[in-house]
Amino acid sequence: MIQPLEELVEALCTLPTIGRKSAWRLALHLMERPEQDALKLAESIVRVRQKLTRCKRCYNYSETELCPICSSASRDQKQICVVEKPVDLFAFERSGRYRGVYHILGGVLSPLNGITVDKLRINELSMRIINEQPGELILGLGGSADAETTALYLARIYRQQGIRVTRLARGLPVGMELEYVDQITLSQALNERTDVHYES
Amino acid sequence: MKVRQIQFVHFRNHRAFTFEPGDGLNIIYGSNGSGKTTILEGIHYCALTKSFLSIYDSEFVTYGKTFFLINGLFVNVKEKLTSIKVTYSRDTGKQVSVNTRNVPTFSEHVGTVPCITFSPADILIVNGAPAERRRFLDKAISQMDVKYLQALIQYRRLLQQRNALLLLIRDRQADQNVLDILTEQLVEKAAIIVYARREFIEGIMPCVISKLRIVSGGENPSLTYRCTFQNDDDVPHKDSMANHLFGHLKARRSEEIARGQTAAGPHRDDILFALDEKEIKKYASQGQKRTFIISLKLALYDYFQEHQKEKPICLLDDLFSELDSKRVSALLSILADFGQTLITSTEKRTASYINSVNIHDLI
Ligand SMILES: Nc1ncnc2c1ncn2[C@@H]1O[C@H](COP(=O)(O)OP(=O)(O)OP(=O)(O)O)[C@@H](O)[C@H]1O
Ligand SMILES: [Mg+2]
Ligand SMILES: [Zn+2]
Repeated sequence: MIQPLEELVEALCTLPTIGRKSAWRLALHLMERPEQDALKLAESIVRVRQKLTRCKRCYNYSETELCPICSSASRDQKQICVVEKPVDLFAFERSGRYRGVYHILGGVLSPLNGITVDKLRINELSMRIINEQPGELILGLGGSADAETTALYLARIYRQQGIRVTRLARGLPVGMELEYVDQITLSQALNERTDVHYES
Repeated sequence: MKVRQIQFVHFRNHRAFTFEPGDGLNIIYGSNGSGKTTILEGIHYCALTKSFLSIYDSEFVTYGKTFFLINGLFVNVKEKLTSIKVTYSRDTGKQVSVNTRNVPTFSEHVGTVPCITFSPADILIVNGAPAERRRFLDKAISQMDVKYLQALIQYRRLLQQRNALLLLIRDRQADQNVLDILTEQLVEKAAIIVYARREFIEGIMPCVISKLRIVSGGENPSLTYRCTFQNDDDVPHKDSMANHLFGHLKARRSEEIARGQTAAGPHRDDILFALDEKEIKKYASQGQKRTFIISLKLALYDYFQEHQKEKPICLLDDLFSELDSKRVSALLSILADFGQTLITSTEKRTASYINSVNIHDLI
């Protein structure tokens, strides 16, 4: 068959959520569109791989030694939000509400998959805490059981050091009708209910 | 809850087949291999998304076909209709939808259609390993209490993680820091599970006693929870149960690390069945064992009804085999007062309150 095309399909297949069928569709799409589009895509792949490293403070991807968030004067450098992976950071950034900085853990604890404390960036976090003396550590780790274990572990060690540790509230999805909320979420939301503050 | 209609496509020997059971007591009779049990399996799939005989999904697909489909129409006490569709194919796996809405996690669906099953293989609840008895408890309680099922799922996951960590610690690939955290999480779920099981056993006991008395004419059963971390005579209060297990595991930590296994907890607990204070597994006859299991299942009906608005559907496979005629009529007299019941049998049985269905007339 057509060797270069097949090689492209093979390469696309290695991407998450892309099966053989979609890979073929993508490859043919790239062939049928103007050459310029395909070259632009190829270049940007090369560029992210060659230019981006990890920020040496928060471990997010960055072009510079310190990422724009870590070097920004308008961000609160004393508030660190611990997230599992870069996509989570981008989710917080999209909300536009968070003004502190981040720490990317690189995963969550899961002994079953061989992920122990030394496989995550927990030592790095401990060093940061010594050096930066943050006023608050926010655990932004998601709701899976493994994330829960990780959050409890981090909370325990840093609380012992006198750091204020907080976690995200678990509750109702915004805009959801109450009758469609499952029982677990509802009872969680009830547990974590907060006082109502009226704007005056 | 009642089944109005159940439709099968490529489900074992039912290639295209629709069945409409009556509201009360149905007896489906016909020759061996005609597909009676398969009908009950189909209803069970709609209720609990899987086979009650623990058969793999793929084995239900009619030979030479690529998928099966079950479409059940159910009606609750308020006459509200629910349509439940289960499809399976080798490529896309199993999908369940309720009123055309896809159910992403099957555990969410459990309890919607409360359902009690009996099959001759249930003799394992008495004769088999402790895991069989725990499975009986878990299936029953999960249908009434979503929180129980949730705790159980979380417990199993935490247990796997904890056992994996114990092995890593043994092989010096991890230290013990995370073990305390996992243990705390584990014992919290364990307490929910053990407490609910004890409560369930206490609640169901009078129902078992009264059912067995009717069916057997005088045997006196008892059920006792056998916990791996607490004695029966000093059961700690609900709130201190977790602490108690934590202490117990802490004391056995070196043993746990050496074996790479969590030493105690609901995954090791058992339940002891006795008739007149003699353990059933060891002393009862085949027929007595079977009668006991049936009474246990029928007792679930009373218990479910007390705790839920919906009456459960009873799916009783080969109910009458091995039982003497006195026990059979006693059973029928109990079932006459139940909600919807489907019994399979190789023999025809008639009575005014029985809807007798010859499977050969249907297919
Ligand atoms: N994947 C399959 N495709 C087609 N037929 C199958 C498949 N699996 C099992 N069968 C057949 O389906 C039939 C139905 O079995 P089922 O257990 O429902 O019968 P039954 O009426 O309960 O019989 P019995 O009285 O012996 O309990 C059997 O004849 C069996 O051989
Ligand atoms: Mg059968
Ligand atoms: Zn940074």
